[in-house]
Amino acid sequence: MGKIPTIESLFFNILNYSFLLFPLLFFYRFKKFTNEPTFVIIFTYSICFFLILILDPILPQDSMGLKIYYSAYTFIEYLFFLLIIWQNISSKNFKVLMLILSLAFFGFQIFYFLSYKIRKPIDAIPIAIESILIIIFCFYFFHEQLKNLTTLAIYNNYFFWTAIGLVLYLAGSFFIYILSNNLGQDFSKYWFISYIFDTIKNIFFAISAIIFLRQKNSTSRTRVISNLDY
Amino acid sequence: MFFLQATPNSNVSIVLFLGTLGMLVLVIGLILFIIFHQRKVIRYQQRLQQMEIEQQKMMLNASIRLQEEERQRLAADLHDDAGPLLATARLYLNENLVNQDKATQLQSIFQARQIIDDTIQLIRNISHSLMPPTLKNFGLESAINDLFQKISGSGTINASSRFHDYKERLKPEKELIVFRIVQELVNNILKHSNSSFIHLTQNTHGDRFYLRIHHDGRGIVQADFEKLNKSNIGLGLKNISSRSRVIQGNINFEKDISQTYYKITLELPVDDPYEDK
Repeated sequence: MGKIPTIESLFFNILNYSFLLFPLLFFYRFKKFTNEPTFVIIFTYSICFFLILILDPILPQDSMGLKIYYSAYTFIEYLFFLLIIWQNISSKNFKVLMLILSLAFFGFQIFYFLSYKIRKPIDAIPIAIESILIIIFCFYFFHEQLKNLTTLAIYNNYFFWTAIGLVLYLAGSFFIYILSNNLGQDFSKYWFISYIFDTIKNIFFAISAIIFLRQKNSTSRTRVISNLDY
Repeated sequence: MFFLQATPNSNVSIVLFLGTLGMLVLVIGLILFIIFHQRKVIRYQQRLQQMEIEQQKMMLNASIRLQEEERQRLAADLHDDAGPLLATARLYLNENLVNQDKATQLQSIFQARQIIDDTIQLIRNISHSLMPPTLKNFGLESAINDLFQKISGSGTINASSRFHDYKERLKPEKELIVFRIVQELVNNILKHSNSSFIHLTQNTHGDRFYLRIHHDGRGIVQADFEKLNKSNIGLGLKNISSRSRVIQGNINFEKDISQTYYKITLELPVDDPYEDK
């Protein structure tokens, strides 16, 4: 039992530095990544959350401060995930639906922020809704890819790996968030689960960047051969 | 270990453990299903493409075989008909060198001229079978009308054709292909359908050119056409199919709404008048 804080802080540090995985790759091939809006958003997201986690110990620990912190965290996270998926959905109708659902979600978040009791450690319900919405959006992306018969295997699409990262993170940490208010004092014991899945998500973001780079390299390699008729 | 140690909130811990595990299994299962399903679809598509390629190969083989058959027929016509005729004419002319009798000489020259005339007619017939002169000089409408008049003239079947909107002629090479398709279709009807009439109509709608043939005999529908196209028999039908592809046309075999007649519709794009410019 005494090892829990140490283990938790280990997972926390791993998670914190895992947010740097993607920015490192981003700087490695800056020009290629800046042409892809999805990667620019992921980069901004990674930097933003790395800073949030770095500043975590010095953030106000009083009830009101925590309430604002958690609500803002959920809001920003949802906004980034929404933008990432938005870039990769082609159906205009579904984009409209995404927008409507997101506005409804933001409305609900404001309502929840104003109404929920300060003593509850985390905004479990908005997080659960966020998870469900993002998972639905990701699965719609998979569905679009399945419908598109011109594409090659789905795993050749870099965004497939981004979506898997998102889905695994949200599905894996879904129950810890939902039950966070029921766990009482034991809550902190299980918090490492969300760190693990958050780290996995960052690893998948990096994998998606590597897949993207490999594709770019293979297409540019074919262009190098001059005076050759294809 | 945490889950085993968590005694006060053990129920919640179990829910947390099973819930997280369940969600993960569900998500991973769905992702695996998507991957495998897509691979299955891709494999199916590749198989379809393979079949398409094989069909194209078959069509190419059919057209090559047809070309070879045509060449053999030409060679046979020239060798068996024109060759002996010219050889006979030569014999008659040789006779003139040997025989000094004026009357015999005149008779052999007359015979040689007769044979040469026959040979000219024969070569003309061969040439006409390669490229109908009516088609070349007067276009598709006249060539088809001519063909149908000849068929009708034989007295065995009532054949008629009518062009409703053919002011702008198709390109000559397109006209030849359309004419060959019509020839092949009419030939099939005459050979297999046992019908009492054939009627051809032409029309243009927008940028599409339509030719429709009706007959009252035994015919085929689209499913039969596609089946025969994929099989090793039906060389003529394969030829029709490959020819209609060349002109970006569609051919459709169906039964009339009244279920009495069979109709074959050939649809192709009309030529862009500004294309050559």
